[in-house]
This record gives sequence, structure tokens and C-alpha cells, in this order.
Amino acid sequence: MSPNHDSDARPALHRRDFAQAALLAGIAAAAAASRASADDPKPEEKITLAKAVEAVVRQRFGEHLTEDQIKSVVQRAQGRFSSRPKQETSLKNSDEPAFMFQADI
Amino acid sequence: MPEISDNILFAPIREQASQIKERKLSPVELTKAYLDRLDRYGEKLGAVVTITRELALRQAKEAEQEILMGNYRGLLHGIPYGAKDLLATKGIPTTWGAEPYRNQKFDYDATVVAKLRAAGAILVAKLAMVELAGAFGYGKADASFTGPGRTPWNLDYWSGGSSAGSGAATAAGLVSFAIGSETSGSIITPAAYCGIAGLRPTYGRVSRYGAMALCWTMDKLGPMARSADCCGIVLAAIAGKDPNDASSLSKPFSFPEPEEKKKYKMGILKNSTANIQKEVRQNFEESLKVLGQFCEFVEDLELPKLPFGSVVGTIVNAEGAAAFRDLLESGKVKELRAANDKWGGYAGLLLPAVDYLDAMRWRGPMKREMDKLYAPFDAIVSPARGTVALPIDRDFSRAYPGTGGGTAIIPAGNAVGQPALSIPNGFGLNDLPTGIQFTGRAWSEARLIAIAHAYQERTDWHKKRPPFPGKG
Repeated sequence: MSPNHDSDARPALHRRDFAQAALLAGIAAAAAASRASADDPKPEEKITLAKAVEAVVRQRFGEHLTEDQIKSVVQRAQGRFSSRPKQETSLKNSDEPAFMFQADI
Repeated sequence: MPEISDNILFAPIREQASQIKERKLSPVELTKAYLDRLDRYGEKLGAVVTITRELALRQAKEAEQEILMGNYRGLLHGIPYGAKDLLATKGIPTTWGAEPYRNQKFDYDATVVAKLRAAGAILVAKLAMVELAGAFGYGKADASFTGPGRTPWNLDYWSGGSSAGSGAATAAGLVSFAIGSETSGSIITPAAYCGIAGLRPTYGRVSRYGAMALCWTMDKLGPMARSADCCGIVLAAIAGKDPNDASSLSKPFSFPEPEEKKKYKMGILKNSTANIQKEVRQNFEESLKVLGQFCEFVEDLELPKLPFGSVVGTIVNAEGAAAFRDLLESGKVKELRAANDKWGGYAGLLLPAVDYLDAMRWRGPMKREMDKLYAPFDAIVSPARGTVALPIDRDFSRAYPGTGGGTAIIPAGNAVGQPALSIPNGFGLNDLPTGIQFTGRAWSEARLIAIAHAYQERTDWHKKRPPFPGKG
């Protein structure tokens, strides 16, 4: 890969991305709940996409990353979750992925 | 045999081959001369991982004996070359440019290496590269366990990536030609930054067997050499169907083209010089004057309005994270050199499968729209990169504020697997080389080479030699 690739616009959250975020938020909420149980009760914290992603990153890779690196991963991953560009044209149901599974060896 | 002069070391393959065939040039002496230069200058350029001295001398002696006995195999017989260190070579370290793999060895040769051996070429070095071919978004030149690759035009500037050593070693006359790889820009960029020719073949033209996988559906292997003609000679030797790589195809590659066209039809993209360095634009405009001698132009073409950048990003991130999942999940990724590479891959592991699948679904419409754009033309011409080589000591994002990389032609072409060829077309800021790029429909490499060759017959940018290392 070479640097400085031209990127496309990064528009707002898409419906399916929202579902993804909601799934992550669920995970994060569970994580937050288990952490909070022994602490003083606090006002319900709003679960943002960033917090949801952070919880997953900490859970899965936290042991390998510094705090700064966790922030960077969250930032990049969060960008991905909200990065579905809105196009003038869109995919059709008949547009298949550009690879083919073949049963023969 | 006389001492090998710089004129021979920098000569194009066809000229070296002619002298070898006529027994005026010894493959052994030529190999020794390149080995000597690799020894002396390879490290200063950050261009070399392993010098394959023993193997090279053995292959050179075999070549010399065969040729003396009248068994001349063809234009690459006795010609020394270097391979990007992501190509497996039996018994020789294949490091992928990365600390965690610096002792890795394979017990087989990559198909490209085997094909070049069969053609009689001599492997003199495994060449440096950006670690893991830039899988995790390195962001600066110092991203290889061998240090940053340096362009021989100015050692304070990067030789480009990820085929950094292939570019620098070829430009500095440490090898006659090299093999590089491109997923998105990794041949075109170092070719432009080092002032050499670099050919990215159509996806499937060259077998990937034995090459490190960064992105199975986008990785391509191709030649980097002194001229377009040299690239054609090498591509002819390495192209073809390989049973070990299901993506390879046996499309004919007729090189040189049987009949040279008198006039080529060339497209120019709208905004292809927007937001690029002034000197790059000026050189591009000068090149168009030369090309105008044998091309007719159609201007103001537009790339299809499709998400090339994000599709390439999504596919590379997903496939790269899968390819190196063990490295990421073990935490050994922190042994990589560039700060960004120590964490950049983790985000790829979180990428939703449907995003990857949708990115792959986009490639069908993209192929059709790009082919529609390209069909009326022999090629579309553009600056290879929007700037000259980037300084070693700065993050890429801060290297040239206010200028960009040019149009989205690099990700667009790579998303759809089209070929591209970059050749030098002048000098820009700090006397660093600039490049011009020809892109075409799938399987049109021979046409791109013919156009670039016609340009190089009318110019001498490809004959310029860099100040480093000076007189050998």
C-alpha cells in the first residue's frame, strides 16, 4: 500500500450501521453494568458509539494496547462504522461479491 | 573481459542481453559488479535485506556455461535482478520487511522466482519493503526493520512504498531490474519517486503463489526497471496461468505488440492536475506535448462517481486483518517499526462482514463503469503521483501541506484490477523525479508499454542517473 489515498466522503450513520452500533452498545452496556455493580450508583450513562467500540476494543485487544493506542483504534473503528458513503448509484440485489467459491479442488 | 562500466550497469535489459548473447559481457562479471554495489550502497539506501551472493554466483556460472555452449535461453539469461522480500525463496530468509518475520524461511520458491530462474535470470538480492507491505497504515517512511528506503536522487527523501527497495536498488544501479508488488500504489509510487519504470499488471496476469498475502483479491506482482521496454521483457517471463494460484489466468501477452499504431487515442481526466505540486503539473503538461506527436487527446474525462477509496480501504483492512490475525491477536504486532503499525490492524478486526461483502459487491459495477470509461481509449494518462518523494523525517500527512496525491486513479485502478505503467517525465522540487502514468483496460499491458516506449524514444528522462552513489 502506498500513502495518501484519495478517500471518499464519510456521511452520516446508515440504518445498518445503527444496528451494528446498537449491538456494540449492548455489549458495552453489559460491560458497564458488570463494572458498575460494586460502585456507587451513578446517573445512567449515555452509551455512545465511541464508548461501545471502546468496550469491545478493551475486551478483545486491551492487553496489547496502550491507552493512546486504544483511543486511536476506537477512532479508526468508529470511523468505519459510520463510513458508508451515500452514492448517486447504489448496489442492486443482483450485485454479487467479486469472488466465487468453487467446490472442485 | 573488460571491467564492468557504469554504462553497462545502467544499460537497459535489451542492451545487456545483446552483449551477453554475443559473449562480450560475462554474466559472472556482471553479477559480481552488482553484488559489489549491493554490498557498498544497499544499506545506505535502506534497499536491501539479504544479498544472495552464493546463489547468485552459482546461477551466474551456470548461465555463463550454458551460453558458452550455445544454449541461450532468451533476453533474461544472465541478467541479475532483485526480488521484493515478500517473495518466498527456498532456504533464504523472506522477512516481509517486518521484525516478527526476520528469521522466516520457506522451503519453496514463489512462482515468479521460479519463472525468472527458468528464464535464466540471476537472483542477487532480496530487497527491502515497507513492513507487511503497508498493511496497517504506516504513515511515515521509517516503517521497515531495515529502516526507511531512500531515493538515490536525494537520501533525505523516501524511495516510496511499499516496494521501497525495489525502486531504490533499480534506480541506483544495484540490480538490472526488480520485482515489486502493488495492492494500491506500491509499484507506481516508488517508480515515480525513484525515476524508473514500474508496471502494475492486470490482476491475475502474474501468479501470486509464494508471495506474502496482504490482500488476496487485490495483490499484484510486477516489474520495476529502467524502461517500459524492460518491464515488457520481464512481464513476458513472469506472466501466465499457475495451477498454484486460482486467480491467475492464461490471457495472451503479446509483447512487443505485433504492429505499432501510428496514432494512439488518449484520455485525460478532468482535475488530474488539481491540487498537485506545480512542478509535477508543469512536467505533465510538457509530457503531453511529446505525447501529442503520436497521440490524439480527449480531455475532461471523469472517473465514475463510485466509492473507490472506501472500497479499497475496506477490502485491504478486512483481508489484511484476516491475513495477519495471529500477529494481531498474539500482540506480536507491537514489534513492528512504525507507531501506526503497532495498532492500525486492530480496527480491521472489528470490521463488519457485511461491509466487506458490500465492498466486494461494488467491484462488479466498478469494473463495468471503468471499462465503459476506458473502452474508447488506448490509455488514460495522468501524473503518477501528485508530489515528488516525501521527506524521510516527517509524517506523510505533514510532508507537503496543501497538496494531494492527485486523482483517485490509483485506488480506482486497483479496485478493478486494471494495469498501470509509470515512467519518469522530469524533475520537481529538490531535483526529485516526477512520473507520468498510463492506465488501461484489463489485459492492455502491451499497449501501455508501446505508448510509454514511444514516449521514451522521444525523451531521455529514463537515461538520467541519480547523484548517489556517483561514479561506481
